[in-house]
Amino acid sequence: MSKPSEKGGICASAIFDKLFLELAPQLRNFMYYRTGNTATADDLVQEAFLRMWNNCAKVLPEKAKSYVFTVASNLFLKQKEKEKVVAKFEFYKRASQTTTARTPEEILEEQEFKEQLEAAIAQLPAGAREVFLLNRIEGLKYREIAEMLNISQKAVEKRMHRALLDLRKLHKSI
Amino acid sequence: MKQDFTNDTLLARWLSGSLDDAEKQELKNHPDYPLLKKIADQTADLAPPPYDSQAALNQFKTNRANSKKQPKVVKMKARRRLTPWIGVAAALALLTAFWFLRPDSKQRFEALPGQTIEAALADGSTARLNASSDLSFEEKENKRLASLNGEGYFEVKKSSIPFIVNTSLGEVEVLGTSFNVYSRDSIFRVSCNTGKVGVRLKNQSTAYTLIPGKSIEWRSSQPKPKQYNGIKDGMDWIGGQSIFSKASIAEVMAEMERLFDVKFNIATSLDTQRLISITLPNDNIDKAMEVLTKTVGNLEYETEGKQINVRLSDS
Repeated sequence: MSKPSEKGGICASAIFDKLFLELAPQLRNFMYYRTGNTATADDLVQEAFLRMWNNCAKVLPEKAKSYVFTVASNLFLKQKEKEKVVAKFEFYKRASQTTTARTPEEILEEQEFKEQLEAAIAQLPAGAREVFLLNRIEGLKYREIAEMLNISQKAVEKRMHRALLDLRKLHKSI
Repeated sequence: MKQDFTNDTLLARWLSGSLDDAEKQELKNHPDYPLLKKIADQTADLAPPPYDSQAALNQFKTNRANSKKQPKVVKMKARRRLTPWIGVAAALALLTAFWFLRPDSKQRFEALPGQTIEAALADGSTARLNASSDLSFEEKENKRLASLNGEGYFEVKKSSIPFIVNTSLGEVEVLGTSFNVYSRDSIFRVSCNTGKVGVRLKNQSTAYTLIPGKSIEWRSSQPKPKQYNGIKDGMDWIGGQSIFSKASIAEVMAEMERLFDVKFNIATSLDTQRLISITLPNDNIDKAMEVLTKTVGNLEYETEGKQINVRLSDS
């Protein structure tokens, strides 16, 4: 629909809050895929939005997303140099509408498979993991991921291919 | 590791469904195909750990407030020329000025039809007023008192002194939160964005408490208000839109009159009590009229200056 008539840009609390509620979950998940740590991801989100708030007069509403994503990524890169982050991934089963009755063995087997997969995901190279999770879990298209990471779609597809090869290999060895 | 597929994007394109037949065949014949399929299927219905964005926003506000409390310290060199008493005199002058200004500090704000304004209240709170609304504010000893006609979005500075919004249809009491109040004609609606909001209806003894994300709406013709989830139709105008769900055509047109500073002249053939759901842009009357005519259906209009004549079309 129509764009809000932003007289005060994103400095108006109401608009800023709205942006926060919209962008924070996306950014948090994105940072989770990079860091493998919910607490780190949460902190990065807070810090990135704080910086945007302090510079709110300079940030256009349509640039807000790329602003917080860039700031959070840069903060993470700086932090990474200081300490080696240990990634540990945990995922949750989405509530599916088609819950067919399963035997306890099947459930157990699936649970095991999931844990092995999580361990394998943690060992992927950062670039491949990011692409893999953004596509599989967030459901982003390769083109969207390419725009987000500022790389070509071909590069995204290569990383994705690599991720699957590695997962298969790592998974076998566990 | 040696590449065991002929192409280094094959698996990626498999998942996005853009393989050609030869490639499909190659993949299906690969010994790891069942495992790859399983990995793909399993990851499709996983979700990241849950995230409470409202809690994160509250956390953010606390962080923001704390970061303000520790401003960067700028060291200044002591100036010898200024003798100490000048500082004292300045402080005294400021104090006296403050003292004299304080008692009669009733503030008044008015948003004319077609405009919204931002009001900075004396206690540090802010209010944004929607078109055709007015607000007065004063600080009393044991309360902060605002009187509203129309619609306003409040961000109240936290304090132990209660902040009260008085309207002709009821009042809202808070300590420090953000919320929207709508009070026009016979409709009173409060939506809570953050914090807790206490609501009392005119001539009723029950008090209601709203938590974030909840709204309450009362039509004075009815005995009881209804409470519902969601604050969209209360907070819409902040984002430059007006959202109505199951509102009468009369109500929608009344809001448009305020927003765009126009007057409707409605032909009797139009049933203005019919309920419609509609989202209008607040900054473009042509667009808004277009949406309205489409939603209502067989509607025609012509503009004469500030007057808009509306009637049903014959077809």
